[in-house]
Amino acid sequence: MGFHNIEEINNIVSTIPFIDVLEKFKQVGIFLEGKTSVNLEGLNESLNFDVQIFPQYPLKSNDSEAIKFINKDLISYNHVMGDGSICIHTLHSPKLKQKLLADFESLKAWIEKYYINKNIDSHYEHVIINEQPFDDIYYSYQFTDVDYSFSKGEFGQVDLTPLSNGIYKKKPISNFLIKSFQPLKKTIKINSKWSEYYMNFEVKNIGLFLFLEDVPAFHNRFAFSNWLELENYIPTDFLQFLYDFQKRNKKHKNTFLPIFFGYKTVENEIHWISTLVKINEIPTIGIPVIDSKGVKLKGQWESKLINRKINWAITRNSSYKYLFGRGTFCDKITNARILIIGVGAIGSMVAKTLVKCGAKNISIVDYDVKEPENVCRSEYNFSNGLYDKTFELIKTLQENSPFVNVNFHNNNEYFESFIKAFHKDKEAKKEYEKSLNQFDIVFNCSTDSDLMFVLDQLKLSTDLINLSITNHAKDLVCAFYPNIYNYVQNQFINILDNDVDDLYNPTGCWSPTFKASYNDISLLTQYALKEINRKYEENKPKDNFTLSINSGNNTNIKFTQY
Amino acid sequence: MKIINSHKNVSLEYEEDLILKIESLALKHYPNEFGGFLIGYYSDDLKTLVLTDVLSPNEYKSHRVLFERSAEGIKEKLLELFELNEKRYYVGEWHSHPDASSMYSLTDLNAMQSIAESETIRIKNPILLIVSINNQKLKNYTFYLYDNNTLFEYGRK
Amino acid sequence: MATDKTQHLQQVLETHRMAHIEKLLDKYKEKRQEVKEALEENYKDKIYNPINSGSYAKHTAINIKFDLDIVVPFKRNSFDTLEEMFNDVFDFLYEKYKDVAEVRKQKVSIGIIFDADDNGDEINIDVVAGRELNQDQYTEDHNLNLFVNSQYGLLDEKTYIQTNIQAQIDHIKGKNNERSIIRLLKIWKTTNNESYKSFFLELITIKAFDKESISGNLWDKLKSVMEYIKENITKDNFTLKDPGNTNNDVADTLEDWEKTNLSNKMSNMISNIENNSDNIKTYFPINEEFEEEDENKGQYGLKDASIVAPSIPNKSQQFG
Repeated sequence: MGFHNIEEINNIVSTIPFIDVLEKFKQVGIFLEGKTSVNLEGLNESLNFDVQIFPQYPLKSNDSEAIKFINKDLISYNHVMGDGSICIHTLHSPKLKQKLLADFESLKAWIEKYYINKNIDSHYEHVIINEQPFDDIYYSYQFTDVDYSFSKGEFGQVDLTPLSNGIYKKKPISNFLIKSFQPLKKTIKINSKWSEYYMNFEVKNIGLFLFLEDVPAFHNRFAFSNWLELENYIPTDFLQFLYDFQKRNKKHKNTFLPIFFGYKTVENEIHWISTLVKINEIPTIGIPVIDSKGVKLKGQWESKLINRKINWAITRNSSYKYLFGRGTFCDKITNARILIIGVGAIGSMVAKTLVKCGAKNISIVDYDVKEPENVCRSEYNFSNGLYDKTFELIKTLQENSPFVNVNFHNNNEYFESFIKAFHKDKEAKKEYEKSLNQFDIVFNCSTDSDLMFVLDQLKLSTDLINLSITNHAKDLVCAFYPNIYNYVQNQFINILDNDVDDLYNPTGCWSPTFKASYNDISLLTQYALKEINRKYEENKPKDNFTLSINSGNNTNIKFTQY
Repeated sequence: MKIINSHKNVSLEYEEDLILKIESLALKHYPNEFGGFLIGYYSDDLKTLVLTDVLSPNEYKSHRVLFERSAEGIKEKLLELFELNEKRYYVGEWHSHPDASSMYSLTDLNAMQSIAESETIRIKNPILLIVSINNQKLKNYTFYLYDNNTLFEYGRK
Repeated sequence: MATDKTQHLQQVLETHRMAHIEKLLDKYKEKRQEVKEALEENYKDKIYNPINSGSYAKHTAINIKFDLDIVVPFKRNSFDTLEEMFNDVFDFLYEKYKDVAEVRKQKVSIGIIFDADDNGDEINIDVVAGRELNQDQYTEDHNLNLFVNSQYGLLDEKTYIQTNIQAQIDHIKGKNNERSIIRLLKIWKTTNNESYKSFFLELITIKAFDKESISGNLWDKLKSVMEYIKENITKDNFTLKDPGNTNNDVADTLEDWEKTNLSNKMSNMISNIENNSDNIKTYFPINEEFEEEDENKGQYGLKDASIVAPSIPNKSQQFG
């Protein structure tokens, strides 16, 4: 079965100036295989590569190039896979000739950069691990930062808490968090820096850890695959500890015991890899201790590692840096103590977006309950049924980040009734100011004009930000204390087209609400949050702004800065 | 004499002598129209306007149904009045309607509008006095308050 | 719904006039007189006659936020140092009023905030103590040295500044057009919680009228001044000389980023108001407390805060 025009490929390759064809491409099974040699300035002798072309070529397959350049002698160099293939990525092209030339070009680039010039990348490349299931089940362990530096050879017990079980690569998976470490020779417990919510999870499983410090891998890249390869890494007292553990836990002999090996990567960061062994199958044997004359010492035994394959489980560094590595709001927002008043459609989106963008401390307050019809345009789930908004949202936020502490303001009626009743009282006013000023940022998403009015009268040192939306989510008004009430009123009454005749009245005249979908509201809310983040990040003045959707031929959003 | 403008709820005070002075100026020019500037001051609370005097134009054109006053040389006199210890200033206009009623004409309204909108006029409600005369005497007179492009009559309480 | 900008601005000025708060103002004046007399009695021949200054004296006051200022000119030989003078005046006022007011040291003045009376009115009097530069020189040119208590523009903490209150008051005399714009900008600053100094807005407005030909209706004039600020404030060589001391550049009281922000703000204001005249209500709100009374309040209308200049008819008029 031929997928390619072999002759054409051979012709193209033969025209590449730095390539000598040693063996022309021929069909081997579903692949095309050939041998080439590369001659470049700076090379003492030419480098030979077996070239393998997959049927998908020139398209990619599973995000990998469908062409492989293999030379097992190069395995110690950067970006070489365990099978000796060079890791290259080129631009997409469906045209055979263009793609072939580009791929050989990037092979050339690799040779120049990593073979000739021996470049070291500034970013860290993780050790390559062949992650395996155990008895057909995958196990994953996520760890985060701790306030502790492990010393070489330190070992002890690991407390694990389960996350949910699921499906991974079509097999069942059990997911865990590493909650804490207890070094054997110390009486301390080293807690992982997860949020309170996760730290309150029960410990259901334990494991053992050993901090190796050095990377248990060949060329710092290919994880060891046999226990014997760890011989010089694992101290004998750990093997003794393992043996003792086995003895103590004989009745659990078929239980998998996770063992974590820690090592340093870059900038003193620690990475853990883990393997699971059944308690009655720990990879050691006892051998008699021999004195200097080669005589066995009676009754003295020591543990030695045996020749057995290591299967690696899955570990992930889920520290704040990695979990939010792809993008967050600026530090001034993520580190702020934030209060959100009103967690309806806008408020729940603000809350969730803040958490997804790395916010660490959020408080929410709302007196309202979630009804089924709230689900369609907020961050609430149908599956939870009827629920107090605050309690459900806390759950959602915590499920989204292990680094956010979510509190709920101790009195849900606080802003709804008390503050409105007592705001004229001098002492009460001071109390309200104090309770708000303990936050760095307060989002008022209540769209409650009365509350807006009251809050504007207070002397606040916190950043109070008001977000409201006109009917049909045509416009969003973002106002900053102390210019909220008058500004928002003027916008709603005079400037924006707030058609309040057409409100949605689901259950009678007492609860009219504006008409808009999740898409309508989140579009404007996200835009506003982006601008708010920019103002904080670039230290821009906190001036009010509006967003207005113009639906002419296309959807446009008009931004007006006040 | 104190009269009230009910539109704006303000009052106007003047001495009978001032009306006599105006009467004699008007009669002197009969049968032609005549007029000039009204001088006075507002009370501190701006509720009352006190008329104290009139100032006649240095140059003017006088006809039976038309009177045109120029502003020539008036500035100096007004500045002088403003420097007095008891500050006096321009507050409005007066003119006569010989053998006609004291009702204002469209020309009068236009003139008052132009005055109120002039940058050099710093009051918003200049007043207009129209005196109706015949060849012998003043028949009656009406004070008007200019406000929002309209003239509002003062009435006795 | 469009707003007639000039008409609106006129109403803004009108509703912010001091005349609306006559009773309160009388209380202020009474307190000021009381403080003045106390100072005169205490310092006797160490001082010249205290003079009134500040926005009320300049007729640029607005009724939503104001204080009355007293300048106390000390003779050269009254105190060895300006700091001694400042502290002595503070100690005197503090002792005298500590039970009925909050007395505090401010940048160049001493603030007295009297406790609210039965009507809830808080009276606010600022006392500025200054000392003549040389023996008997004050009577000739009114120059005074003020003690500076904290960061004030480019000057370091605890130093002094020379000024001339009389010259500052004279600088705005007779400038009716400017006054309206200054009052509008002060209303903007106060209602929108902007931190720009009134004195700065005053000087830049006067300079704008000086440099540009500014005419037309009230909105045209306000817009021209805002445009002037927008265009000029960020220029490197832009200065605002204090008429009380030409060595003092009031533009220096703003950091560069503050100047950029101000320029942007003016630009946004102009374009937002031009795009939708209702926006003028956000930047320049009517003082609603006195809005109702505006039309039939029982007051003759003035274009300025009070009678500060005579009205002069400047063209011929025909009557029928």
